[in-house]
Amino acid sequence: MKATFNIPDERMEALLEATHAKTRTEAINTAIEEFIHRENVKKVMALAGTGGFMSREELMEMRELELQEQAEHS
Amino acid sequence: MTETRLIDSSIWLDFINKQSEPTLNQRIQELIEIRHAAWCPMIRLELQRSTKDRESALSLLAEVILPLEIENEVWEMADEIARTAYRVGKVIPNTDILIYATALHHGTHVFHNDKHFDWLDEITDNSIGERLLPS
Repeated sequence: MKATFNIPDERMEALLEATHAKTRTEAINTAIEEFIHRENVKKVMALAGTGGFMSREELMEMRELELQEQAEHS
Repeated sequence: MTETRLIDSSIWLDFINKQSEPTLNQRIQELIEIRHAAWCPMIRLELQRSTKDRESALSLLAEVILPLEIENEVWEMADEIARTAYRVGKVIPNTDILIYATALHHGTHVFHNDKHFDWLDEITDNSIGERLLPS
């Protein structure tokens, strides 16, 4: 999409320098992508300890069951 | 070999279920921040089977994790590893063998908390496993 924004010159210069982008479009896209990634990282880190999944021990049991089935059919 | 880590289900389950695992949480954060965290369809399937109502958590993970495909070459490599395991008398689940072969094929390490990946390193004479160290 095409859009018009009012961005202070010095901020755009700083962004171009920080992103090493060759164009303003590339710089803005890089900044947006990085911002979204950082927000997603925060959301993923907030998942720690929230539960609702089987435990690692149960996963190990599931994998061991697979072994038993393999043994029965070999 | 890249710095990317194929993060096994054993790690994700500890991360999501346990309240306080600073070492684990720090490592996960490092990997996803620099876009070096990966998974593959087998890991995603295991995680999907591990929950009844947390599909949204998996969608969130998909936003920051690099997907590694399981191409034909991976299946062939897994078959070869399975034969080696059988020959040396190590009993290892196919799931782990497939995940390990995916990592080998894509030139990544496996970040895990499962003894079978240690065995896979031994029998294939590789050292691509990164075992979670206790906090």
